[in-house]
Amino acid sequence: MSDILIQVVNLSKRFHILLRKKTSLEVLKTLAQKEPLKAEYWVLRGLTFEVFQGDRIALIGKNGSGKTTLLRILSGIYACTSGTLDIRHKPSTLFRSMAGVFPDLSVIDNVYLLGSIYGINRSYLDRRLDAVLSYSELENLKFCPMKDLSSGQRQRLVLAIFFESQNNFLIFDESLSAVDLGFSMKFEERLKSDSFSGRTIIMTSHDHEFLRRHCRTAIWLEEGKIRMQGEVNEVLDQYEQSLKIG
Amino acid sequence: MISVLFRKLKVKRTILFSRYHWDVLRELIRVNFKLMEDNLILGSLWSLIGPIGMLAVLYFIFRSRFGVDINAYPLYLLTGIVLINFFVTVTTSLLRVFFSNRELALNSAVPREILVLANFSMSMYKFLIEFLFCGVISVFYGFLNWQAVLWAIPLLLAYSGLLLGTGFILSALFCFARDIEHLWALASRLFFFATPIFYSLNDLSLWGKALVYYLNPLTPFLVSFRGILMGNMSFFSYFHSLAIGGIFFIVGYSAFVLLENAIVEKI
Repeated sequence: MSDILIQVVNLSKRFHILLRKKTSLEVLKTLAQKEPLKAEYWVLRGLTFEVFQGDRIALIGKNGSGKTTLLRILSGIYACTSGTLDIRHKPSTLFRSMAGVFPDLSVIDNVYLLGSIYGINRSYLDRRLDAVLSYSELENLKFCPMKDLSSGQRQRLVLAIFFESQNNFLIFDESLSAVDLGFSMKFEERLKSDSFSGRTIIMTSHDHEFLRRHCRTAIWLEEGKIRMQGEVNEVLDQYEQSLKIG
Repeated sequence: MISVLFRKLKVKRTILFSRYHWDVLRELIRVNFKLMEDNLILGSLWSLIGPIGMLAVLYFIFRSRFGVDINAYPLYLLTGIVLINFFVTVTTSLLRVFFSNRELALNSAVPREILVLANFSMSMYKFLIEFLFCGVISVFYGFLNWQAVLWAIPLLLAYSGLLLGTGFILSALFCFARDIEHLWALASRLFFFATPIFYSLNDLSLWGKALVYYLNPLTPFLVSFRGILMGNMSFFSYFHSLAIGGIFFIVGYSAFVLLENAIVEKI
């Protein structure tokens, strides 16, 4: 059996949500009526699972089911409220919102900055710069400010840089939402390539066929709990079935 | 709480000393420099134009009232202006640091301290230009010597400690109550008058002098920096400043470490 990379036992995450508008008047009214201003909201409840070295896991569930929160906890951004999380290797995470992109700076400047955020140093990127620009099809736009690129072009660049990461544990959160079919195919080729074999990958996507092609197992989250986990086709079939019934 | 703090600091130590995070800091500083210089014709010269303008106005107004008894009054004024400007600029920008870098703080594993340091570095760069200018004027008056330059380095570090400590506390508080921004704008204006920028401590009553010196953490720093630049160093103020810088940094950073999880959920 492969080595355990992540062990999650009974993990829960709680946020506090406002029950009223947060204006001074509303706060005073709430205090006068001795009513609570906030309530607990458990985004994740009692999750237990393991991730092994080399696993490819699809994280599925409806919007608001807790996928991104779980990925943020695994990436060390949020702390869990209760339970234990044992991570043996820190992942590189790519969230859909393109954190770290500076719109006023050129494509090249953003390549170096994003590279550093994904753990790739400048000297390595210097050697790989042409390959990154060529992969993202932005060779002729390298001095353009990022704000002049379309959202798809920006996402292509971010993915091209992220692919240069040498980290053996990668997390993708809705990373293909804005790119065209052509780039999506290139992305899939890259995932199948030798450079990605053996790496541990956790990904979320609403493209189930993509997940079926690239993941071996899946975790289905529903209202913050694990509804089902197991072989990817089995879990996705059940999930799709539940959507039809719903 | 102390044991929680020490446990968190132990984790922080391993995170902050990894080379990866220093690469991010270097790139963020580089990016901030490019953004700062973008489309500026005068570039870094703007760091000097503001204090010189302020110096001209204050000198014109207070020269005959306070400046008569103070040796090298323009240098005296300029040191005060530069120091208080640095304090106000840093603390005001650190107040919002997690909100202005929300995407990075929420969607990457970059330690939030790196965001604070990157933001601080920009203001530090401008301050060093201004401080160098003060040094040039000090040479012009014949005050500055190499010993004084060596004394200035620990003092600069301590002043950074004061600013970073205050910045950590303010940035944390701002996540819980936005009123802090308005309160701090008011406090910053008060600091300008409660710090001996254009007047001397000797112009105050005994009580006033004690209040301004002991309750305003900027005053010992200002007295020490002036001592270095004007050749009348007070060792009491110097070591007092070093202690203040260290204490503010430790308290501010500890508060930040303890509140960090709550801060991230609030931004």
